[in-house]
Amino acid sequence: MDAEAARAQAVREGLEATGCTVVAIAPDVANLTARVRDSGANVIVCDMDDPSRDALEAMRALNRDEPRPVVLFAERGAPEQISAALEAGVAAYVVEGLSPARVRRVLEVAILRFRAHEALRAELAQARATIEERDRIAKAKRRLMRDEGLSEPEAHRRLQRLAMTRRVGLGQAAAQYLNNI
Amino acid sequence: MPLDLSLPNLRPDAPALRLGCVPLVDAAPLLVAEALGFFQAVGLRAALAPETSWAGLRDRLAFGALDGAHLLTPLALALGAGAGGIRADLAVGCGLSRNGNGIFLSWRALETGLRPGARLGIVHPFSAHHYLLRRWLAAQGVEDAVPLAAPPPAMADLVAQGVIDGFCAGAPWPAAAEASRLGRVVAGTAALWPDHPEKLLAFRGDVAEARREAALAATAAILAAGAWLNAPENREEAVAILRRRAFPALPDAVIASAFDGTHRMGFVPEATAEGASRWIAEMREAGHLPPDIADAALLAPWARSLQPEAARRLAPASHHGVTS
Repeated sequence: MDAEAARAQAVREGLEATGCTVVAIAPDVANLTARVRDSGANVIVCDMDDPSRDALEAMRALNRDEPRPVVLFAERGAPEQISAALEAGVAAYVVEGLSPARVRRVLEVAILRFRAHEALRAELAQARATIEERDRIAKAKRRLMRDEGLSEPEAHRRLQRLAMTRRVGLGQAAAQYLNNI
Repeated sequence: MPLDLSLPNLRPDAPALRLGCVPLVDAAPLLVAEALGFFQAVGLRAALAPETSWAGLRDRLAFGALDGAHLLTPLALALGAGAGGIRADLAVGCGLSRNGNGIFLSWRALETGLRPGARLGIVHPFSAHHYLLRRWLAAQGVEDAVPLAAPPPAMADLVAQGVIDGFCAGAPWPAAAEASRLGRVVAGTAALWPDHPEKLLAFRGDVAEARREAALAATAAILAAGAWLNAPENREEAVAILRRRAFPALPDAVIASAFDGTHRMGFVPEATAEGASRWIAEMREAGHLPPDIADAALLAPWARSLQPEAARRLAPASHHGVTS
């Protein structure tokens, strides 16, 4: 991602010298999401001051299905800021200048960290969903016990039967029952 | 010197306080405080750093390359929540502005109406522009518009290239696109939420602690600049300062559009928790905030606001004061 063609070419050469493949160079924000998807990029490299920064962020915030690590390079920047950015443990990494020797390592670390971060996020979302599902099942059972005068094991069996006849999971059956479907 | 509240605790040899801003009329309190010597008058060395993009400004603030900044209110909330992938503790300095954004449409969009899939520029996903544009589009019955983020000064070019069909950005950029005869300003965000809180001054939390006197001094100077800007007799000089410092290529009338009946920009000293709470509601509705962070935690930077203390220090000085 670079608005300056000459610099973009220099960065391409630098990256390819370290064994990376540059699959696309985007000079601006036009069709950014499609370009990222079609190019199959593993990582996006961008200057910290590039005008396309906000669009890259928007891609992350608005198109949650296309997450990619973004590696940022800053020409202005102090070492302590770089380590602060690294400690943030997210997709953004700040490196002073573009020294080819360090670039590849930085990109690899960025991709690994990003995957770990995404996995953690997915895990958290899964954990939250599991808790919500359990609450929903408990609530459906309480409703069945109250409205149908069932005991707890009876309410459980009723939900199980509902899930079986509708060929859905217990959680979904509970949700459907609670929503009067 | 119009302002005299040199703070005895400010060390003259301390490093300059670095304040970031994006070229917009609502950065005026910072630009004017520098131009009229208000920072010096409070005994502070401050260095303004113009930034290209909101994301770049946000990173520099979060990673310590800036001590404070001119900031979109929703972006300040996102930073506290880590919603953009980066988290930082902030302390509000003071409010900067209310209203001030315009919705601009290209001639083609005006002619054919906004079709499904129309592309509209916003300045950042976490911005008043984004949330209020969504409302405006809903009211117009436009569905499936695609938001595309770009820095405000780049919007007119993107319209000219046909990349976007219109945009919502802060003054003076909608009027600048109109002056380039690319289309027309059709509404202001002031009509969608009258007097909505727009920009604020924020410091990194550790700066507000460790360099509290400097942060208070900067806040006082910026509050004084805001009061100066609100006086109608200063309008002409304010526009000249903005042109020289931020918009050398724009005519005065375009810069002054910020104060017209559509944009209705005003400078406000307070950044209230009530205003921030309404942005929290908008952000939650858009799914932009993690659901497990409580409003109270998000509002912590507002609870630490330096504005009341800075205003108290400014009060005795204003007698012989800022406007005399």
